[in-house]
Amino acid sequence: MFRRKLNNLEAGNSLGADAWRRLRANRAAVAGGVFVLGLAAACILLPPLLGLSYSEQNLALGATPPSVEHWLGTDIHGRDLFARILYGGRISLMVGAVASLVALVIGVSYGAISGYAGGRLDRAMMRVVDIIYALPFTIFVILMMVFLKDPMDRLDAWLRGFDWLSGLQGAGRILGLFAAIGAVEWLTMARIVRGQVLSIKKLDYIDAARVLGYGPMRIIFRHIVPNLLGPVIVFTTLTIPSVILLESFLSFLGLGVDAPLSSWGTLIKEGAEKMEDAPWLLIGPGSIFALTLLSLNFLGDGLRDALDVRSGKH
Amino acid sequence: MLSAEKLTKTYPGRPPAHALRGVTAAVSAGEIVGVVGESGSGKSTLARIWAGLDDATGGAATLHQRPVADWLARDRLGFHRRVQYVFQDPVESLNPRLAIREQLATPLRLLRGLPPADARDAVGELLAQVGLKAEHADRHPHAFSGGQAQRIAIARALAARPEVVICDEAVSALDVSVQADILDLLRELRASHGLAYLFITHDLAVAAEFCQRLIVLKSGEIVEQGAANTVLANPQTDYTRTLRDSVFSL
Repeated sequence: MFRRKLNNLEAGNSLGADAWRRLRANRAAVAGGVFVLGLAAACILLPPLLGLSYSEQNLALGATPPSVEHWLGTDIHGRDLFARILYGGRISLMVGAVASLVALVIGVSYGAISGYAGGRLDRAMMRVVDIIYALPFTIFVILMMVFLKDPMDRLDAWLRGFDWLSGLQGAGRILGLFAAIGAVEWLTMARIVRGQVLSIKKLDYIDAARVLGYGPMRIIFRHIVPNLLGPVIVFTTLTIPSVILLESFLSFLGLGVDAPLSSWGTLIKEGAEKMEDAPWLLIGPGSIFALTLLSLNFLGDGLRDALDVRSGKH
Repeated sequence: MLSAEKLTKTYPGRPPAHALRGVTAAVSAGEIVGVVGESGSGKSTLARIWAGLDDATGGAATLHQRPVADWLARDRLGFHRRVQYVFQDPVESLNPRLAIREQLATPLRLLRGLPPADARDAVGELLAQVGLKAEHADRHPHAFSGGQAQRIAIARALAARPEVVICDEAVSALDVSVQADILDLLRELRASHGLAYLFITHDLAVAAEFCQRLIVLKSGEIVEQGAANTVLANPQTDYTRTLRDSVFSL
C-alpha cells in the first residue's frame, strides 16, 4: 500500500487520474453514479425496445395495482405507469441536466467576474442579482415562459417542416423550459461563487498570477474557477432535483410539458391526488424520484471529495 | 532602479490605519536591500506597492524613474518582466490545480515570448537552475516539501529574467537548514543573473547574514538605514537595538 502510494507520487499522477481513483474508492458515489446513468439509459433505450407507449389508453382497464402485465400498475386512463415513468424520466432528467448546466455556466461566470472585479462593478452586478431575486420566483419563471412561448412555438413549427426531425417535436417548448428555469437557478450559484472568489482571490497564488502579468480573464477562469469546483459541484447536484420539481410545477400550470406527455413532476402530482384510492400511482414515481435525488447527492459529495486536491495526499 | 519618494499608504477606517508614512528609499541594480521591522511596520505594504500589487495613497513608487502606475497602464508585461516577487508561504503561492510545468511555462510564454513548445522544454532548464529535476515538472504543488516549493516559486520568478526580485519573508516559513539552502540558492542566482533583491524579513539574523544594506521600518516610517553591518554593530535607535537583541540573545 505504502509502496504504491510512493510510486504514485514518483510518477506524478495527473489530477484527473487521482480524482478518478478517489471517486472509484467511494462506494456510495459509485452506486449513485451507476444508478443515475443506468436510469438515464433505461429511459432512453427501454421504451422503443419494449414497445412501450406513454399515451395508449385502456379506459375499460382503469387504475389497476402492479401486475405481471403492468409492472408498476396503470393510471385512471389505463395507461402503463412504467412506460410513463420512463418517458417522464426523459423529460425530467433532461430538464434537470440542461437547466442546471445553464445555471452553472451563467452563475459561475457571473459570480466569478463580480467577485474578482470587486468595487463598483461587483456592487452593480450583485444589485442586479438582488433585484431578480426579489421578484417572486414563480412569477418570474411564468413571465419568462409566456415571453418565450411565441418564439418557441415558432421554432416548433419550423422543426415540424423537416420530416426527419419528427423526433424533436415539442423540443421548442422544452428549450423554453430550460432557458426559463436556468435563468432563475443561476442566481444562487452566482452568489455562492462570488463568496468563494472573494476568499480565493486573497490567496498568494492569485497575487503570484498578477505579478506574472496574467490578465483578469486568465486569472478568473484558469486560476480561480478550477479551485472552486468543490462547492459548485455539490450545489449543482442539489440544483438538479429542485429544477425537476420546478418543472413539475410549471407543467401543472400548463407552461411545461403538455398532456399526454409525462414528466416525473406531473406523475407525482397526479399520484398525490389519487393517493388514497391508488397509492401505487404515487409510490412508483415518488420512489424513483427520491432514489435519483439520493444518488445525485451521493455522487455530488463523492465528486467534491475526489476533486479536493488536498485529500488523499499529505 | 526601484525607488520610493515620500510613499504613504492609508487604509480607510475609523481611525484610518497608516501603513506607510512617507517612506523614501531605493534599491540599485544588483544590490541586496533588507527591509526589517516588527509585524505591522509596513514592510509588506512597501513590497506590494513596489511590485504593483497595491496602490500607494500618496508619494511616488518608481522603476527606472517611471511611476509604477504608469508602467502598469502602458507596459504591464514590461513591468512584470523586470520586477518579480517571491511569497512567504511557498505552497500557497502555487496554484494547487496546475502541474508545475504549466505554472512555469506560462510566464515563459507570456513574459519571455517563447513559443509554447519551447516554453515547455525550457521548464526543465529553469528547474535545474534551482536544483530540481526536469521530471518534477509533471507533479502538482502538493507533492513538494516547503523548501522544494519555494525553489519552484523562485524558478517561476526567474522565468521572467527579472532585474529585481522582491522576497517577502521568503524564507521565514522554512526550517532553519532549508533556510540556509534557499539563501545559498538566492546568492548563486544573483551571481549568475545579476539580480537585485528587496529582502523583507522580521528576522534580523537572516537579514544580517544576507543583505548588504538594511532599512529599518517602524509603524510605517524609516527609523534607520545604512550598510547592514553598521546598522547592526552600531544601532542608532532603541528600536533597532531591541530588534537586534531579541534575536542575538536567543
